[in-house]
Amino acid sequence: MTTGGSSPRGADEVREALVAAAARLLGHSAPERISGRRLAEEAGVNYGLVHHYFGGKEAVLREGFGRLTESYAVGEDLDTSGRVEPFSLLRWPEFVRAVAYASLSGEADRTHVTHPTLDVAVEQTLETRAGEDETEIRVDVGIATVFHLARCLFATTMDPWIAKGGEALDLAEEVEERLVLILRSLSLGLDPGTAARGDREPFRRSSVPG
Amino acid sequence: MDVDPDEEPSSRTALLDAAIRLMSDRAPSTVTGRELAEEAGVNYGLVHYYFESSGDLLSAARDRHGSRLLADLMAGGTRPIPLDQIVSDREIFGFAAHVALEGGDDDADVSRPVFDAMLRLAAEGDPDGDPVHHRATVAAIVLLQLGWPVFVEHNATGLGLDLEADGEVIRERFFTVLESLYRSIGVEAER
Repeated sequence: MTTGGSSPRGADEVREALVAAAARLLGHSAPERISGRRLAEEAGVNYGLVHHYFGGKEAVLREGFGRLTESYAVGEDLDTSGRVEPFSLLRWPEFVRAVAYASLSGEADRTHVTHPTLDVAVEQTLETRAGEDETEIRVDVGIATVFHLARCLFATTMDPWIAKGGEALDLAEEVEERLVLILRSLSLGLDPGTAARGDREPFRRSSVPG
Repeated sequence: MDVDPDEEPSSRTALLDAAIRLMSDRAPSTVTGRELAEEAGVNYGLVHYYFESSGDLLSAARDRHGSRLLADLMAGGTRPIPLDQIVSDREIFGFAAHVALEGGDDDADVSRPVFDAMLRLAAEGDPDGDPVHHRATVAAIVLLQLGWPVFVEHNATGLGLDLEADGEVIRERFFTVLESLYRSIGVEAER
C-alpha cells in the first residue's frame, strides 16, 4: 500500500515506508511469516532496499513493533496523567494482535516486543502496595495484564455472549463494570471473587479462607 | 453442525481434529488443504467433499473444538476445566486464539457451549446468586483461561520475571485467582 501514487524515494522515505509497512503487517500475521519481499511490496519499494537500509527483515520488524508500541504509549498519554483507563487496549487492537501473533509463534523475545505500560503499571502498583513482596506484585500486574489483553483479543468471542444474558437491557454494562473491578483487584492483589460480587473493597487475597 | 464426540472416528472428524492441531500452532489461513489431508491421514479429495469452503471448515472445527473441550475437559459440563490443563495444554487455547485473530468468532449468533456450561455450574453452585455476578465471573475465568497461554510469556518478559525461576509463584498466584473466582460462584476447581 503506497501513499499517493509515487513510490517512496530517498533514505528517509524508504525507511519510513518500510517501518510503517511492518507495523501494519504485524497486526495480521505471525512475524516469521512476513518475508522481506512482502515488506517491500507493502511499502512499495524495491526488495533490495530492505537489506540496503536495514540489513534484513528482522530489523524492520523490530522497528515496526517499536512503532506500534510507541503509538499505543503516546495514545495513553502516559507522561502527563500517569493514569490508564481500564481496558484501554480495546482502542489499540493492532497492538494487541501483534503481541498475540508474536507470542503465539514464540517470537516475543526475538522481535523485542515491548510493552511500556507494563512498566508504568508496575511502578504505580509498587507505590500503592509499598512494603509487599516485589516479585508477587510483578506477578499480579502480569496476571492483570493477561486479563486486559485477553479482554481485548477475545472481544468478539466474549461480547455477544455477555450481551445475550439479557432480560435486563443494562446487563452488559453492569457485567463490564464488574470486569473492571476484577481487573483492578488483580493488580492490587485483592480477592477477585469478592470484586466479582460487586464489592468495591475486596479484602486481601491472603485473608480468604481455604 | 452437531458432532457427537463418542461417534466412530470418521474421516470428517479426523480432518477436524487435524485442523485443530495445526491451527493451534498457526493461523488458520496458512493451513492448506493438502497439509490438512496429510495430517489427518485421509485422501485430499475428502477435504473438499466435506467442506465447501475454508469458512465451513473453520466453523466446523470450532464446533468440534467446543464439544471436545466440554466432553473431555469439563466431563460433559459437570466440572470446571482443571487448572493444570490451562497452563499445560497449549493446543486447546492456541486454537481459540488463532480463530479469534482471524475473525472466526465475529458471528454474533455463534453459540458458546462452554461458556453456557460454566454458567450452569454457577447456577447450581450459587442458586440464589446475582446474574450479573455469575456472567461477569464466568467471563473473567474464560478470559483468563484463553489469555494465559497466549500472553504469559510476553508479560513475564516485559515484567522482568523468569518463567523458570519465578514459575512457582506465577502459577500459584494465577491458580489462587481462578480459585477465588470459582469459589464466589460456589464451584470448586480441581488443580
